[in-house]
Amino acid sequence: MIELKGIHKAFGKNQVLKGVDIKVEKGDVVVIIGPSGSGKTTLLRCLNFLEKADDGELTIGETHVDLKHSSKQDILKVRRQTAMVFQSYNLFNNKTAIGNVMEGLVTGRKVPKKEAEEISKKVLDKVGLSDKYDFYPCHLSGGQQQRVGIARALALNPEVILFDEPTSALDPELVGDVLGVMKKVAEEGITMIVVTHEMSFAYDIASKVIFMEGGVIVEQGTPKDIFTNAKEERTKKFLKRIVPEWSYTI
Amino acid sequence: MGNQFDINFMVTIALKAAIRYVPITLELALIPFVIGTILGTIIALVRLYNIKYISKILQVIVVIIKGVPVVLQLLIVYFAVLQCFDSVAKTLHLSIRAKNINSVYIGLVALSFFATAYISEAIRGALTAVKKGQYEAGYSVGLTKVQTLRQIILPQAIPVAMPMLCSNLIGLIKGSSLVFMISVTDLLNGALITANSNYKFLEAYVAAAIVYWILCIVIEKISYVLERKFYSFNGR
Repeated sequence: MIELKGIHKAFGKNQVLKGVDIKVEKGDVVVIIGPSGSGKTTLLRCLNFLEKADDGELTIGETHVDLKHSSKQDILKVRRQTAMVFQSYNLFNNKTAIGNVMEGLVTGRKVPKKEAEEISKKVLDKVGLSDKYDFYPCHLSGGQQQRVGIARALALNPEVILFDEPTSALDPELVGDVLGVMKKVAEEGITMIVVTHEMSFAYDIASKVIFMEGGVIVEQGTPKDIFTNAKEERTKKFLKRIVPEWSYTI
Repeated sequence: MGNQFDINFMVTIALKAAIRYVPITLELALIPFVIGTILGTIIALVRLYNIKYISKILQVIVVIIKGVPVVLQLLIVYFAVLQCFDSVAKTLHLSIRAKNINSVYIGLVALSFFATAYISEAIRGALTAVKKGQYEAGYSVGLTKVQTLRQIILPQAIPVAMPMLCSNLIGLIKGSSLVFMISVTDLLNGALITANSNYKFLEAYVAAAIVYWILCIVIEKISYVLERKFYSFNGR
């Protein structure tokens, strides 16, 4: 279980998060939607300390951290229970696909190399890249790179995988590949927190949808609640602008 | 015919003398290069991670060293040692005196300052060329700062730094010729000595130039090969 309480974060004078509470149960797929600049990505990045929150509490598994007074050990402990898939993939350019997946296991968690290699091959197979083990990122397409990114996260077997707009940098044809893999991951019961603009994905996969704006959570609920039955005026307005793109395809 | 270029003298005497002193020149270039690479990397890392106070102080030092000609650095260190070393040695009860210090060491110290300042900039440039996302990816899979640096950042920064490091080394080889100011016999001085009796300075200078040129070509070739090797992951 993951719980965030009262997360505050400002960049200079710009208050990006103004007290956000989120509770995620094991196996949940939480999708965070909202307009740009609403603090979705920052919230996700506060969760694994890529941004240091100004205030708030985080509970992840057995670990409880006061974000304001976190120690190096706390940060490492949290990071080793989470994994992240980035918008711009951020694969290690100096490592092959399998090297990317193995890195966190071998260097970070001291898993024996042989074992790490086995795990890595398994997850790469799962994301459909069994023929690309030894390819460097520069020789992979965007969709393939992002699938390596997902494999890298999966291999760590974390409490939660954080997805930061994983399909935003992909061309439309490849989006399907990545979403397919994410769906597969979700079906395995892995806890996921996903920031995305793919509304149909949110509708299909999410167990909970959170709508954020201006650094606060405006509304949250099941996909059905949010997409067809939103209570807040602001949510309706946001969805109206985006949803027609997909509503007729379902 | 005395005014003509004496090729025979150049090849058989001046060139030979220059080649004999190549080890001194290499010593004067390579030792500061190694020291500069070690200290320069440390300075670059301190400045990259913006460590309080130290980072600012180092930045000022680097700017000062970069803003002063090498020849002045050499002379300042030389005269500083001549004038101040004895009193320092006395208070520390050392028996060594300034006049007993080999000038080569003074040259090495001065050139090391020069190398450190420039190499720190080359390495800092290479480190900042690695995208922020690479650090974040390292942290996100649970690597510590040091692990991320060692496994992810440095392997990507080194090939970027290679051409700059190579030109720094070439700069050091050429810059080391200035030690003639503090009367160290290096490649250039060695060649010049042969011309002292017959005033065939042009021949001596050209001989020295040829040897410098060959040294630099060799270094450039080696750097090129290393760069290719380090860059293997980049598909270029």
